[in-house]
Amino acid sequence: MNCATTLTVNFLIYFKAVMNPFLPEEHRAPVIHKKALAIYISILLSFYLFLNFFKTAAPGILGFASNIFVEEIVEVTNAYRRENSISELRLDPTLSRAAQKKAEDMFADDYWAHVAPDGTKPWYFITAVGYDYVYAGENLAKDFQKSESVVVAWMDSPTHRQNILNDRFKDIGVAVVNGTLNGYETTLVVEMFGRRPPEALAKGGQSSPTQVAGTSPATTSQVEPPEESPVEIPSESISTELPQEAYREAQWSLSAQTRPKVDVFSLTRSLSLALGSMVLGFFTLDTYTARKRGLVRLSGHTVAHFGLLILLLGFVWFLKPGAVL
Amino acid sequence: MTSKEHLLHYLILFLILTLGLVGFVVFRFRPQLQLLVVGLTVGGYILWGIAHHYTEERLRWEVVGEYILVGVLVFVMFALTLLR
Repeated sequence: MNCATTLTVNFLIYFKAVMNPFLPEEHRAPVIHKKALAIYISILLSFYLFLNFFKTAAPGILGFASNIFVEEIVEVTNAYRRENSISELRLDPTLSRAAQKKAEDMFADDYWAHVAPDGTKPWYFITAVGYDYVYAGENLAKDFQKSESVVVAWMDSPTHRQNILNDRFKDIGVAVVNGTLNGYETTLVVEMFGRRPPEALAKGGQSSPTQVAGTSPATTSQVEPPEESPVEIPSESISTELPQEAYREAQWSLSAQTRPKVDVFSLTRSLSLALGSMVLGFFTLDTYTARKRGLVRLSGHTVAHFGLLILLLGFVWFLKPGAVL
Repeated sequence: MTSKEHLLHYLILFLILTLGLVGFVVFRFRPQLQLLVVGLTVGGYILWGIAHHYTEERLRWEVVGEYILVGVLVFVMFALTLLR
């Protein structure tokens, strides 16, 4: 008998032994007994602690894979506006620069929020790059794999959707920036919306920065209301075409492809699916064995465990990476 | 426990799990809220297990422990996948 066969036979003997219920106590099979379940939980918690330690010890190794393009973000955003009979947004290089600054600031100060830890609001970045506005808004996203998923996620959230479909906005600025956030390599997407005052448009859209008093952000996506009553801009003054030079001017943030050494989402998802399936399989075998032998168990209802485990596997299977703010 | 009562109990469990599913779908792309939904579903499942075995007059610490451990295992598995 060769080594592989011996190992297989030994494994089958061991497996049969651990799947065998403790007859005197009429308990579950050892592989799904309470001690085993506690061991599985300990393994998962240890793995979680290891990942947390690893991301601090070697930042940038773990991360979220992504392949996001500014042009696609703008196109999908405008597609939703067209669907809702709202004029398309014009990609504004100045607003894109503001979005870029915001993304860089989040990486530099390691935060994920509309308002920085030092209290800096999104509007600071907009006015700092010289975009004078009467309306402004901001949508944030991170850890997404594809451009379309980002906009779909925003459309799925009422406050972000409100920004995308707000007909007061005429300009859009988008930045997709790679970096390390909270120890993970990821891509941040910052989408900023704006509308210049008529006088700024008359000057070619390059007016000096004007500080507009803002309200405290209270929702996940930000809309800065005007200090004064809104001024209507003639629709013909807003180009509905996406100028190619705007893309070229915003070349530093045209796209972002992240290929981390370890894709943390795939890793944790695979582990959860494998362990969940294994436990589900053990419960199935245990139930089959107990029924076959006519055993009465001092245990919970397997149907209930099945229900919860199948639900969990479904959740993890359909879970998509990415979060919006 | 009559079969009618038994059916009612399992309908309640089905409702708890279905609400969890609905919450998961509604809060997609909101990891923190999804984690809250899973936590509440697991909590509901544990309470269901305790109430069900109590009415069946089969409630033992062994049984409570099993529901808690399966629930915690499911929660930890999901939380790990949502790791950010």
